[in-house]
Amino acid sequence: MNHPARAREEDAGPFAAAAGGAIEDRSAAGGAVEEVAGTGTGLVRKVGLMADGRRITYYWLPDRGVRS
Amino acid sequence: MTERRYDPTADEWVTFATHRQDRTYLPSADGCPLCPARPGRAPTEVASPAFQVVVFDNRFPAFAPAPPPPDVEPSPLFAVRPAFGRCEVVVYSDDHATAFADLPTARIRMIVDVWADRVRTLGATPGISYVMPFENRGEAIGVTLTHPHGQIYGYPEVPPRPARELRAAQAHLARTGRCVHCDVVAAERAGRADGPAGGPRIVLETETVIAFVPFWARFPYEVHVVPVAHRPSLPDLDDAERDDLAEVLRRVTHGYDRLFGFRLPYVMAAHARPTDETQDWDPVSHLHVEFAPPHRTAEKLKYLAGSELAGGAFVTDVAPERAAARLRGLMR
Repeated sequence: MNHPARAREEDAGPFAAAAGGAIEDRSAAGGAVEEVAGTGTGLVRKVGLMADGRRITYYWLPDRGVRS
Repeated sequence: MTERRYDPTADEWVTFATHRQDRTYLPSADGCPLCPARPGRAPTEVASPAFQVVVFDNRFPAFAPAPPPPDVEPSPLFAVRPAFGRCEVVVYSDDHATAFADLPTARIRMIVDVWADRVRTLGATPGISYVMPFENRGEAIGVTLTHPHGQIYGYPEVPPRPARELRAAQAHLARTGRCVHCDVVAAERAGRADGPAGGPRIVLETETVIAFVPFWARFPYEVHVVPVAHRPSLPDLDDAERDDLAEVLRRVTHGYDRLFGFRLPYVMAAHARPTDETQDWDPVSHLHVEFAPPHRTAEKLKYLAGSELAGGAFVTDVAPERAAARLRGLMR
């Protein structure tokens, strides 16, 4: 539990909580949240761009904690 | 310099990516580029204060979606191509100190789902013929970042080793009418050996997934993890198979860490159906995850030396049946 964001609820996605300081949280930008086909677990993803234009995809399970 | 050159003497392509000489090398935890962004610290690759699993384009890729033209001109003998392809990083957790072996099964199941999604996504890219998720773990393997992560390469053609496996599977299919991997799984499950060595090599088994030291193991503690049913690729696994694969992968990696009492270095890679449509690959493709740990004892490494590197002929120091017996008790 060495990260302040660990204590947050997961329901709002992987980038819901502030980390207690000024961070340019680019993860909130980008495309829509979409369910990943074929998993049967409710896994979702969100595609965005990194600061230098590379593609990044965040995956998370909305109903599970980060340590699940 | 980023380009691919063809070796006409061996019928294979070699990729040159000289910029990778400058990639980040064993940074301290404070400077880890795969950790989440933190206030007051240098930016990382993941500009989010927390995450579960994240996949992004490698900053130092061997292959790129829009590669530069080659530095040299091709000739009829010396073919050269741009280094087209994809190189992605898969970060398993935002916890710098954990490892694949320490992740809960639910997180590994999530990683299996992410692999399947990346295989589907990258495999649908025109020009990508083969998608291979893999993990290099440990400095003995050449790992440059210790944060728990793997990689996925999207190749412009089937790489040599999977291509050789597919050729062998095609020959077996032509000879017997069956998938060679299905036959191997059936033989291992039946507890018999199709050779003189004999003895059980299974280290772990569920209803849908089997893990065994192969009859032909090239590394002393090599393990293959294979779905029992004929599943050509990760997206073809059903829910129960993905659950079982995750649990078996967790127990294999956890067992590896008990083998010598330290985090065992390994290469883990998934071999599966090519993603091009040059032929119907399904009958000869059977998903399997291969583990190649380089240690032969706690202190000694299995080096790829004269026979292996120069001859391509592996000489293995431990009998597969003995390795399996030792591993079996560790994979609880």
